[in-house]
Amino acid sequence: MAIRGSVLPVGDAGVLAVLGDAIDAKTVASVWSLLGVLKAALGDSVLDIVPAYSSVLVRFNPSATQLATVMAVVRGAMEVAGQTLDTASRRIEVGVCFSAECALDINEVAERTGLAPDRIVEEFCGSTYRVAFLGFTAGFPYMIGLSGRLDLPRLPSPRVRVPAGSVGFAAGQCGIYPRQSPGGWRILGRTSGLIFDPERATPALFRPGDIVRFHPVASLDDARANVTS
Amino acid sequence: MNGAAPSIEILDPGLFATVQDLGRRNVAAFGVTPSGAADWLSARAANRIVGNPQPAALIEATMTGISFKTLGTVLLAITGANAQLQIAGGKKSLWQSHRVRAGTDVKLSPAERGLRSYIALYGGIDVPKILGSASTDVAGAFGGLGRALAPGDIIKLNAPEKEIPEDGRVIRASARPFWRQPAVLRVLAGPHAARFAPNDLDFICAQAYRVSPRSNRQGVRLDGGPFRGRDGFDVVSCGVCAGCVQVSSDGLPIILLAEHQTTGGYAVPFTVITADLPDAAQLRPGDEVRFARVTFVEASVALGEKMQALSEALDESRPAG
Repeated sequence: MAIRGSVLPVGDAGVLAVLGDAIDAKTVASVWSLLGVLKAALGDSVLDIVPAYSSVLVRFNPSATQLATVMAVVRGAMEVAGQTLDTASRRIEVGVCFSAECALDINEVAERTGLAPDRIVEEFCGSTYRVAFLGFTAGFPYMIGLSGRLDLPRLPSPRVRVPAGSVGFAAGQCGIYPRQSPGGWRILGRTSGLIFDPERATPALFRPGDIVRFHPVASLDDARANVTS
Repeated sequence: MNGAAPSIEILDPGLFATVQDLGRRNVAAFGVTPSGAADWLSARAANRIVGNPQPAALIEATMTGISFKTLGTVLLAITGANAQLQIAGGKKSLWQSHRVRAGTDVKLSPAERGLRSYIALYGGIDVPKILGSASTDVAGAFGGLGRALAPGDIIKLNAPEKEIPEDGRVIRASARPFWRQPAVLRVLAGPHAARFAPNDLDFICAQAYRVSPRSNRQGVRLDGGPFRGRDGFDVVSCGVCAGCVQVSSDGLPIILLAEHQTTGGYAVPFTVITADLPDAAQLRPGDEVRFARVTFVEASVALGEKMQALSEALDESRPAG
């Protein structure tokens, strides 16, 4: 099996395994596999293991753990990791309200793609997404699987306040803002599901590997997220 | 008095004060920042001086000082930024423990040098641990009080397990941040160093940057000569940690601090060594800062020295003052 990539020190307190420089399903699957092997190998001896699209960061306490040890463990993990998709993937159905109040950028997206707003919603809800990793802000899922017809860059200037629950996309990715925050993605709609709750046993609704579908609902109150399997 | 849990009442929290400990772990994969004290050295030292475990929850105040009233007898120590401390109107030393009777006003003046102050109270602050830590996650609005401190907040302390220790304990100067100007932060290669030409890395190290007022607990933003490399600064988003020096799209560096976002899409040519993170956290707007490359061994020795200074016996011989 073994996965290819480079193992790089991040100062004296981190090691980054870089498995590629593309955002694609194959690289993401390698990341999940490496993540699983590293969790088993390092357990509680490090501070954090942080997956992203094409990399895994191990953060450790340099007073307690040697950089060379972590680098060796990461190299060893890459030898045994494969590219298997996580078999325990869950399916999550997310209801999205696409009303004018929630779909902040739909008219501009229509202008730039030449698709009518109805067609944008169809196109967006027609794709199946997978959560690659969580990052940016607590519980924010970075998803791949966006239709090529919605391939637009980030907003030239980020919004100061994106409302909580906003569903957006940019640069081939799709995501949901768990809380009101600044953000530069193009907002198509909104969900009222609780995406992150630090006091819940499992704080984040989404986790890497989840299979996500969106469907339109009439009002924001109905815009819930359901884990279906 | 054993058993009774004292508290303090915040009169003026200053610019920005939060409850922090040494931060969260095993949460970055949820997108949750580690948070925790930005200057880990001053926070650990403050707790050590009052006899708390080093990860005990304390207050991090910013720039303009803080004032509070004691409701019960407390033992406290304030570390970090240089500032005037007054207890019941009398001038007192930082980096030293003070036993304070109930109903006393404690006032820390605006910082003269440095930015962040740490107020440790014997027993530690009693707040629920969220995701394993008492630290306030300001953007996430959880941990600590779920927000920055406000006037009138009552901060409960844990009931002392034993008699409140005598005051007058001080910690060695080597367990304190440096206040050199310009500040020199020692750096190691970051994960994207190889994307930069050697000349480009030299360029960044040759600059004298100024700390921007847009800095916060997420990161220290620097102003100065923008870096104009041949390649873009964007990378595929990857995990980052405190100390990472990101070169943002305007060509200027940002040094990530404790409340950084968990992943970032800017190239990281350098990483500030763990031993110098306290100095980075104490930079204030307008301060001058330079980067100096060191070896891994130098980074390791520097950290070892600071940890050693923290663990050495405290000097109790100095008179309280």
